[in-house]
Order: sequence, then C-alpha cells, then structure tokens
Amino acid sequence: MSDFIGTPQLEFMFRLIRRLYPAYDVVEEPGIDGHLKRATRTDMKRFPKIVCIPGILILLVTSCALAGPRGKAKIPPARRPYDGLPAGLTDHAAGRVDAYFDALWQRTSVTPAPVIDDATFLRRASLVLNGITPDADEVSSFLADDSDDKREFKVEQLLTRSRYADYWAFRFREWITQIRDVKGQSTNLVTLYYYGRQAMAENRSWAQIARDLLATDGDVSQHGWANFALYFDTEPNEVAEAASRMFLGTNLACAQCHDDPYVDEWTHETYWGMAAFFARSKIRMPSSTKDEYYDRFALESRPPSSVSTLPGGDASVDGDWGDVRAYVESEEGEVRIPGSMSEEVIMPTPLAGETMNDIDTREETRRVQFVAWIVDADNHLFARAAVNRVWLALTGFGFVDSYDGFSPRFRTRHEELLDELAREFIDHNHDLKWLMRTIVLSRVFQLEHGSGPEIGETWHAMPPRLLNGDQWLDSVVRATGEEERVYSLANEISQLLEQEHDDRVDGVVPWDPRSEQTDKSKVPRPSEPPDVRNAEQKRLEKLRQDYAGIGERVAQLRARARTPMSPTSEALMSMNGEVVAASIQRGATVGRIAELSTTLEQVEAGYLAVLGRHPEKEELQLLSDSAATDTMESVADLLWTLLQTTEFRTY
Amino acid sequence: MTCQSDYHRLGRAPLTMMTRRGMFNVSLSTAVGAMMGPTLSSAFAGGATGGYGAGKSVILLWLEGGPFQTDTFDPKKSSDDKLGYRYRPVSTSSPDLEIAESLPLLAAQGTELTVIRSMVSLEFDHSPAQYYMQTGWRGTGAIQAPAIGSIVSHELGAQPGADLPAFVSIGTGGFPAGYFGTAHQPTVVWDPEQPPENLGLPLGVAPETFARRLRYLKALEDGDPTRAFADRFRTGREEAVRFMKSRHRSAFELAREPVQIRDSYGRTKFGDGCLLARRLVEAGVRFVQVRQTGDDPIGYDTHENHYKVHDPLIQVLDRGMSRLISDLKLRGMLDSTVVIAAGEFGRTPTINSNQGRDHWTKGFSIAVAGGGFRGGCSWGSMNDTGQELDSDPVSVPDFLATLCQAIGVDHTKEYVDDFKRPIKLVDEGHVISDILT
Repeated sequence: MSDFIGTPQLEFMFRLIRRLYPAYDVVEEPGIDGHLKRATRTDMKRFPKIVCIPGILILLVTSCALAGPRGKAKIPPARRPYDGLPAGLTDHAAGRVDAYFDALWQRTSVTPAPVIDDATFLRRASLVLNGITPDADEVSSFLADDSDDKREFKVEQLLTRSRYADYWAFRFREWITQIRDVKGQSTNLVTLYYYGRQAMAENRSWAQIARDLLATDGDVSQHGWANFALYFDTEPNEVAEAASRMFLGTNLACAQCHDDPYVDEWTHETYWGMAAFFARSKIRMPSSTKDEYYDRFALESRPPSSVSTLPGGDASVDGDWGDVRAYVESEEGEVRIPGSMSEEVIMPTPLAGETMNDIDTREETRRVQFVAWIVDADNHLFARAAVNRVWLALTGFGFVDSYDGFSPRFRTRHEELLDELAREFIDHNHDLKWLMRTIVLSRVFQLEHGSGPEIGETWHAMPPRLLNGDQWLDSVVRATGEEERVYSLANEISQLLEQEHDDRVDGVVPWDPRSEQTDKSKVPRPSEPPDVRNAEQKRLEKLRQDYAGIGERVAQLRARARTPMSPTSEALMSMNGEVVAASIQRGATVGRIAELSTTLEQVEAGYLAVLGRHPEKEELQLLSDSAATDTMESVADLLWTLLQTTEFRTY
Repeated sequence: MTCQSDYHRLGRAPLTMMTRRGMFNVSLSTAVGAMMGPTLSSAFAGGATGGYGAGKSVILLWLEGGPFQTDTFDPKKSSDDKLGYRYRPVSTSSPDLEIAESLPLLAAQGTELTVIRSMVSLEFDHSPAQYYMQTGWRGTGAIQAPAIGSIVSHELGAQPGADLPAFVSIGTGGFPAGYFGTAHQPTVVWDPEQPPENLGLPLGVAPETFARRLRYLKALEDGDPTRAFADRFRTGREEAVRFMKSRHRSAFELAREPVQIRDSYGRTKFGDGCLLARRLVEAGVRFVQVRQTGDDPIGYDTHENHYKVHDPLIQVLDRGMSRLISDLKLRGMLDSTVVIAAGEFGRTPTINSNQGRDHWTKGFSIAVAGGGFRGGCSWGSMNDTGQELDSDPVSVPDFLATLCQAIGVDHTKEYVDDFKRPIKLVDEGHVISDILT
C-alpha cells in the first residue's frame, strides 16, 4: 500500500482516513434495546475531527467506507509468514519503541523471536484489547486482507468497538479491587463497573479518571467513581495508600505501621503526610427520605440500565450492590499518627515534597490539591506509573514487576524508554488508547512466545500468558456460538419492544388485562383480540425473563471463573463446567459446522472458530477416526477438545 | 471454672518465639504471581509441650455473619431489658462449663468443649473481619496472606495415601490462598448432597464420550509438549481425571450413610455439611470448612429481628455440631480432629431499636472440641452483663497460633514474599497453652 501512496502528505491523509473509518465498525456489534444506537452515537463523537479536514477527505472517507479496501480475496495459506511492520510506522511512537529495542538487542547481541503471523496477531490483539478471541469470519477476512497496514487498521477497529469498554471496565475495576483482598462494606461494585465502562468508552484521560476517583463527591449507587474511596472505607490513610498504588505506582503500605526498613525515604511520617490529604473526606448516608442527602445526590441520574453489550447485558456484570452512601468533603478533620505519644497534627505532604502547611487557606479542597499534585506534568511518577501499568497489563512484562512496584529498592527496566513514553503520554493528554495503540503496534508486543529468565529483562520474546476469567468465558461463549444465540434472543426482545412502542405511538392502546375490570366503555378497543395480544405479551415477558436469567447466570459464572482456583479445579471447570458444556450444547456453532459436508471442512471450521487459525495439515486428521455416533456429536467432540488445548487457554 | 493450669498460676511466661531471619530465597520469579521461597528453618521447633500436633485434621464450622456469644457459648443471667437476653445458662456434662440453654445437645457434649469467651477482633466489618479471622492478618493490602485452610493444606497436605484434596470447602468458595498460590485453594462443594464443583460429567455427556474426547486431546497436546503452561494443564487435567475416577470419591457421597445417621445430623444443609466433613476427614482430607447459612442469606448478621433469624440457626448448629462431635468420638477420631465453631465476630449485648444486634468485636466466643484441646472448660471471660471484657483477652492471631500448635504447625515459621520480606504464618500470635492438653 505504501508503494501506491507516493508522497508523505498523501500517506498522512490516507492514514487519517483509516483512523476514522473504523468508526463505522460498531455496526457489527449486536446489542439490545438501544445499545447499538448508543454505541454508534458515542463513536460518532469522533466525527468532529473531520470537520476541520478539507472536504475532499470526507469524500474519501465515504468512498473508502463504501468500496472498502478489502474485497473478497483468495484464502491465504494457513500461516502466512509476516514480514514485519510497514515502513511508514516508524513515524509513530511504536516505531520509536522498536528503535529502542533494536538498539538494545543489537548492543546486547540478543536475537529477538520472530514476529507473529497474522492469525496469532489477531488473536493476541483481540484478547488484549477486547478480552475475547475473534470469530471465524473476522479471522478469515483478516487473513484474506493483503494490505500492508492491516494490523494498524485492526488495532484501530478493536479500540473502537464497544467490547473494548466492556472488557477494560472489568480490568479497571480489578485494578482497584486487587489493591486489597477485603472490600469496604458499602462499595457498589456494579456502579464502579459502569463508571469504568463509561470512562473507557469515552476514552477519558487517565488524569481525569484520577480526578473523578479521588476528588469528586458522589453517591455510590449512582456515581461509580465514588466507590474508590468507599472501597477503602474512606479511611484517610487507606485512600491515600490506594491512590499511591493506583496512580503513583508506589506501595507505601509498610510505612503505615513502621518506617519501611527497605526504603529510607518512606517513613511513618511520609505515610501519614499523604493520608492527611484525605483527612476531610467522609462517608455520608441519608438519615431520612427528606434528607438534604437526596437534594444533593438526586436519584435521577441512576446508572444507565443497558450499557453492556456483553451477552446477557448488564445483568451479566458480577458484583455486589452496596448501600446508599456518599463520598464527600467536609470542613474539618485531621490525622495524627496512631499510637504516637505526641498529639501533633500531621499536615499534608506529597511524597518527597514539602509539607503544605497552608493547604487549608487555599480555595480548593485538600484532595483537589492532591490530585493537582499527582497529575502535574512535573510529577514524573504519575505518567511513569500509567505507562508501566498499561504495558504490564498488555504484555505481561513491566518496567517494574507489579503495578505498584516503583521503589528505590528495585531497578526500573528500560528507564530511558519509560521516560520517553511517559513524556509522550503527557503530551497526548494521558490518552490510554494512544498508549495501548503504541504498545500493541510495537514489535515487542508482536513477538512469538519465548521463555527463560533473560526475556524478562530484554523482552526479546513474549511471555505466554493464561487467559483471565473474562477472556476465557467470553471466548468460549463466542467460539461455541452461544454468544450469537444470546444476541439473537436480545434482538428478538428488542424488536418486540419496538413493536409495542410503535403500537403505543400509533395511538392504539395495547391490550391491558386490568382494563377488563374497569369501565369498559372508556377503554379504547385493543388493537388485537385479547388472547393474541396476551400471548404476545406473555412471550415477550418469557423472553425477557430468559434473558435476565442468562445475564444473572453469566455473572455468577464470570465471578467464579475469575476466582483463583487450583489447577485441578481449573481443569474440572474447563472439562465439565457449565460454561463449556452448556455453550457447546446450546450455541450455534455445532449445528453450523455439522452442516459442512466433509470432515476436513468441519475440522477447518472448528479451528477457525476456537483457535482463530487454519489447522495444520496433520491437525486436519483430528476427526478422521471419529467414533462418535453422529456428526453433531463428533463436532461437539471437536469443539470440546479444542477448547481444552493449551493453545486456547493461553495467548 | 476455666482451663487454668499450674503453669498459668505461676504467671504467663512471655513466649519468645522469634525466628532467625536467615537467608532469603533470591530467585525472584518474573512471572505474574511470583512464587514464595522455601521456608526458613525456624528456631522454634514446636516443642513437645502444649499439645503440639495432637490434632491431625481440622473441621471449621464457619458461622458467617457473626453469631451472638450470649445466645450460644457465653450465657449471662442479666435480665436487663436493654440487653434482652433470652437464654439462661445451663450446666453441661462438664462441671466446669456452662453454656446457653439454647444449645441443649451441645450441653451434653460439655466435657469435649473448650470455649474461648474473650475473643477480640480488630476489624468491625464483615469482609475485613472474615479475612482477619481466616488469615490472622489485617487485610491492608500490604501482605497477601493465606487463609488457615490453605496454611494447613500447604503445611500438612492430605493424609498420606488419601488420594483426596487436602482442603475442602463446603458452601463457600473460600478465602485467598495468598502467597501459597492457587494450588492451595480448596476443592469446593456447593451442596453437600452433590459432588464437588464440576466433578461430575455434565448432563448429556456419556463416559465414553468423555473418554473419546480425552483421547483426541491427548493426541493434540502430546504433539506440542514444549508449549508453556502445557505441563500445568496436563497435570491439572490428569489430577482432575484421577479425581473423577477415584474410588475415594465416594467420601463425597452422603447417600452412602445409613438413613439413621443422616437423620441424626438434622437433614439440613449445615447438618449434611457436618456429616460430609466427618466422612472427608475419615477419608484423609486435612481441613474441611463448612459454612452455615440459613434460609436468609444474611446468615448470622441479625441487625433486625435478631431472635427470629438467630434462633433457627443455632438450633441447626446445636444439632449438627453436637452430632459431629459425638460421631467423631464414637469412631475414635475426636482426639485427632479439631472441631471449631467460629464466626468473624460476635454481636452487641444491647439490642437495637429494630430488635437486632450489631457487630461486636470486644469479647466474643469461639468453641473448640477435640484434637489436643483440653475440653470441659472455658478461657477468658466477660463481666456479669456481658458488656465488658473481664479477663484474658485472646486476639485472633492468638487463636490461630493455638490452633496451629494443636495440629503441629509451627505458626512462627516465616515465608518470604515477592518483596523478599519475611512473613510469619501467623502475625504476633501467642499460643494459649492452658487450653491445650
């Protein structure tokens, strides 16, 4: 493609179009009851960018979208070798990451692992960005696409899908809940998820997220962000400690009780000095229904009822609903070192900073000033911690070994690269998608698996990783076609609801059984005879119940799949558990594959659906000696077997 | 009367069980969830005193939500309306122990019961308090501590030759295995009348179908032995299949018990759980926890209508626990099995305006029987009205340290976490030797 485009200007324009084009992609995400519209609307927000681009671009966008650069093409060989990233990419940050590692590997005489092939790339990028494996159609069209920058294009597409927000909201929530094993009593894990989803869908900046979580009042039943403080019981020290771990990549926990013997700088005073920023943050609860609480936190902005495009909808989001509680800033409150002889009030002191004795004379609250300090461009910890966090989450390798592993005790790897990315992250207004795009498009993300202690230092191969509970469950549900079944159920409900809505709009009163008991003369005639209408409503009710039931069950299974369990329990879950068994039984994939005429085609289709690639020659023989009694059964065997493989359960 | 011994009258000697901080394991794994290093040899060798290691197995009756001490093991005579106590103390088969009249069946087992009446927790909410009671560490996030079941699983494993998991959890998914890793998570039984989670083949999958699928899988996976995690999956799968086919699996089948025995445990979920726990310990499982829940998911958390919710629960507890103790005794297993009834805290002595009782951490009760515990006595006390701690407070780590002592686990043993910090199995716990044999 870069041959075709001669000048750098044209290439720039072309790439810009490609950036914008994926905004149409959301249409392929099914949804229920307005999901689709909402998702499209959200994505349409990208379009103001177009306005400032010459009109010709709009034409190009349209023609590009309509004609589609990727037509039907020949089926490529099973594993097309990949010859590296397009040359144009060196303009990007990913290119600079590549340059850094090229130099490093050359200097240290390390041979990097080969770059992964297209199928492996698609699977890895989908799992990392959308938490799910691609379906067979997507695999086929990606493999058939012979454009040079299809990986870049695909990453853009994955970042735009609603699945991106659905998935990263889980990870975002986990970033908070993993800080400690116990949760604050009133935390509402569901609204916390909703908040995360919204923030990810809008691609809210990481600095804004910090502001939301740390410095914004809210009621946990409506304002998901308020759960951050509540999760840590609004204890000033716990919130400060969590904030340091989440946003500064630094764990001060040891200094709560003693000077950290391993870190000279972090003393008891450091810890409580940080805690003092949250000394005036309190939990409020309503004392009566006429309370000012309800005036302030009017219960009008309840969380949207159907934001999730996961199969099963919002009900499939696991987590406790908490109480009605608010996180608010009050006028007073101080911290003192517990158990200390002196009654001295500890004033807010940023890590390695000056004590802010005059903090309360300023207009902003203590915690607003805290956030201003952490997100300040001069505070290198913030951007460095964010880069490390996202890098670690995406690749399994970190500049330090954990999200909060920055400490004078541990060496930071690739310091120079980290600093550069941190600088650029600030320049890009703390844009998480920019960071993810940079990482996923860099060669270091696209290397084949390798092992050995040295890869942890030089990153010249990717560490294989286990699918997490969400990736595993969603991928099983997709590969078996259970996702499809649930979506079609959702669509059916959606259509029935629309029908009902249209009836009302047309002025025809739908049949209401209660009207039988009222004054009949005043009731307009129902649009259809009662029994028909009734039957339809019953059907809708039944469907809705089924759908809600699926959501609730998915939520339970999801929570269980995420719980750490022994390898034996894990194997039992994978072999005999409901997720795999029921999905194979109910999902659409078995039936569809069974219709294919030859065993070879069936095996081929099974590999595409489950592992996202074409089978190797010898793998085609899998079902050749099938002893199953019928085709459906042998296809079920095939899917089950592939779902158990190490290949499926890792990436 | 309490469990005081001569030793106690001489004054409690300070227990100095500091361990050496020796060499740490330096092979820091870069993989997520770095493994713990090997143990340090401890200066504290456990010692032959204080009933060290008399217990071989543990059954923890986990009374989630926090039962009310005065309704159960620490009855009071006060008739103050503000307190609203319903049950009188009754004598038990031990002259040295009284418990509440609400537990008539357990009263008959008084000689076996050791009641600690002076438990003190530092955590006031369920989630932190459960974590604290289970691990002995406050869940500040600084340390990934393992729960007691995982500790026992790691330190002792299943009984030799048992071919069963070391740790089974009935009615709850359990608590974190912390730095011991997922291998020490429990095998979970959600319903005592059903096999463990996912152990049975799913509906519609015949044994020959399963065998055929395993053959396919073997053919595929054997072709690619170099793949990372392949070993982990293969081992997990082999273990799982072995478990599925194990004849020891019958230990999980309550239906094999005679009807009279099943009836005697009360035919409740909790009673069934107690009976299943006995079967499992008999078959060699080392640690079984049985969570008690009622019809109402709040369990013992009776902030409203205390007696309406609490009474049925303690009736079920009385039946199940007393039967478990007598059954173990009959089979000669009580001396080697520790039975514990504990929740994360107790409930307020004063009754609130909703006729409920709230969380109470300053003096609540735990009852223990068997396995190296003295029996027929109590330790620590509250004042006459049950509102103030009177003597011998016992911290959560003290209790866990004492339990470790009873089953022969050195609670001062140190492990090195991924920050290379030495961490004690139980933080700052002191063994209460007086309640051990």
